[in-house]
Amino acid sequence: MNRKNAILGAAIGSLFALHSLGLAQAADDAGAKEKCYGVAKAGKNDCAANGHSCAGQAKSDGNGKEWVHLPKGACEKIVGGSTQPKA
Amino acid sequence: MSLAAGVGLRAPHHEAWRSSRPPVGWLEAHAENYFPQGGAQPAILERLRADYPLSLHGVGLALGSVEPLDLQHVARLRRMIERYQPMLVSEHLCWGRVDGSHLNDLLPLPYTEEALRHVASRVGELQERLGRRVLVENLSTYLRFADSTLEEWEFLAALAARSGCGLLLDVNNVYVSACNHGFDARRFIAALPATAVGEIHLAGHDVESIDGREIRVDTHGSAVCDEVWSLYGFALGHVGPVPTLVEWDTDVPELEVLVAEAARADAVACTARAAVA
Amino acid sequence: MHCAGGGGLSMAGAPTAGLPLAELQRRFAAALRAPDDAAPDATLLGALRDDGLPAARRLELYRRNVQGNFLKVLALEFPAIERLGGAAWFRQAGLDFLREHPSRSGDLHGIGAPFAGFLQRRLGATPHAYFADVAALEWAWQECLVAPDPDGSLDVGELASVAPRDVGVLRFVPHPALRLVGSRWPVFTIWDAHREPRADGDPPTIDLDRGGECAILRRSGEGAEARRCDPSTLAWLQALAAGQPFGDAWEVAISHDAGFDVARALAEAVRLGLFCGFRA
Repeated sequence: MNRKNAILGAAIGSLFALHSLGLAQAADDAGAKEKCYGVAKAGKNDCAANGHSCAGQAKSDGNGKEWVHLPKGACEKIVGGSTQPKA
Repeated sequence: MSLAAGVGLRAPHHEAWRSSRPPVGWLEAHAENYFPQGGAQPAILERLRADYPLSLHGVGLALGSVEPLDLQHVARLRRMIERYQPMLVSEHLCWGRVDGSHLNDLLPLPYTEEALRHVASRVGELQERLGRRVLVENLSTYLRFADSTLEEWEFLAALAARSGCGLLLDVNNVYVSACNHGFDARRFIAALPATAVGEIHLAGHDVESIDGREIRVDTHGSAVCDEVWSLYGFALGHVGPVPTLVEWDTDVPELEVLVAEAARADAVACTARAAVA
Repeated sequence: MHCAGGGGLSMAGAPTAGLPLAELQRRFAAALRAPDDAAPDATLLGALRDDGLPAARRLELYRRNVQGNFLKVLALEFPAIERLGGAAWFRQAGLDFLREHPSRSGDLHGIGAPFAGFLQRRLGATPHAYFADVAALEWAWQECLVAPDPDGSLDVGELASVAPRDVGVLRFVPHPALRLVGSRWPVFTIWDAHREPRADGDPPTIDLDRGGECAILRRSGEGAEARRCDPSTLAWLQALAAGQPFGDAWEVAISHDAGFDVARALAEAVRLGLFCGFRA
């Protein structure tokens, strides 16, 4: 218990030290390829309620559940794995 | 010099709005886009509100639905009104909710006494809950109901009279519906109570061919067409000068294109004023 | 020009016994939600005018618009899933999803919430089971973008004044936009490769067996930022975000990785603004 509190207290202590040195501010750092940035790109309620741009589009190709087994997109380049992934 | 006409505030232009203040007269935002209370959307609206008069245009209340008003939705709208203090608040003459689910489209009502009674009471309830007058907009429609006993313009005029609401006259929607249903667009506009019209919308539409029949579809995806400009001039002659908005929702062009459309609206309004004088 | 034609309401041949508004709306809504091959509702069609184009064709315009609008918003929320499955596949999956999870609100911000669970139920036993985890990451991103701004911020000076014997029981208040995602699959890599159109052509080949990935999603400026993290940091943050005390969260983390460095993790979490306060 003492050891635990010591570790946790030290963590907060070093955080305070960093903070005092001005090193604890949020900043965009190196290694940006590990991160993704974005903002909301569209108003979700724009097309859906103030125009009928979808009214003329084609009927769907069909119905039923065949979509479950037949993805046709970029996932063909996701390889490996198994039907029952390892936990 | 600033224009009088406004433009619809849309996300593809947020970047442009961050760095410029084009001379449009005012802005209108789709209220529901700003229901979330954090992130980029409310931040930009907060900044723009400081520089332009703002109108909040609701798209999801489905006032004509038989289902009770979605009070959570009304409360969110009210919170937005308190936060942004808009000069105008508007919604549509439509329905869209059934049995707790929402179709998220602006669906047409039959123009009957039953529907009129219903919508007038809903609009009254909404105005009471918001503590202010709202404007109700006419739709573009692609079908009519066999049971309708009123014309759309009679319905709108009666709605304004009974509920005390204002009207948002979408001139493009009048034109689209007039073409689709074969009525006279000018007759529609002339029949509206001039003092009730508190705002005008302008937008572009597309023409589709279905089974060889031409149907005009309200896509908001192109410039305002010449016929709608001319109808706009006619409308101004009837209702006088009211805040006018240019909307563009599909294939949204650069912001300058909208500003140019707003400038054209000003020019039409100028000509209309000269004609009256 | 035919727009200025007569029109009017000649009611010749039209049925006069009208449907009550409630029934009309219920039937109309059912027709708009129906699959392509559904039998038409004769009662509803009888309530509509043909006017030179069969009422069924007019109704179809609305049906396609309702479907199209929903699919547009869903694609906006799940761009990587749309690319992974392809446009035609996404359309079918989306329409199936719409029937199972119709929108409940006049605000479309919430419609994608059940999508990851839906994909899990449909694809969980297929080679595309990882779609559900990619969708969960995409939804977390959507939530992160619009989550409320926090009321305050973490006061490090005040935190440092907590008595040493009490540090184990203090609790951090997570930033409202903080989202934490973990998966057995390399979901961050898959998402990052598919969430936007690629200027350099096709997405790369990704090996599902390269191992699981965890991600932290947070508010950055007015937008969002996502970054990878290790499993022990994820477990630690999940415990803290769930309201567990600082001491308990540390124990959760070291049970994942005995070498978990809480000082470093805390400094990083604070630097990234993952907490907006604490309760002693």
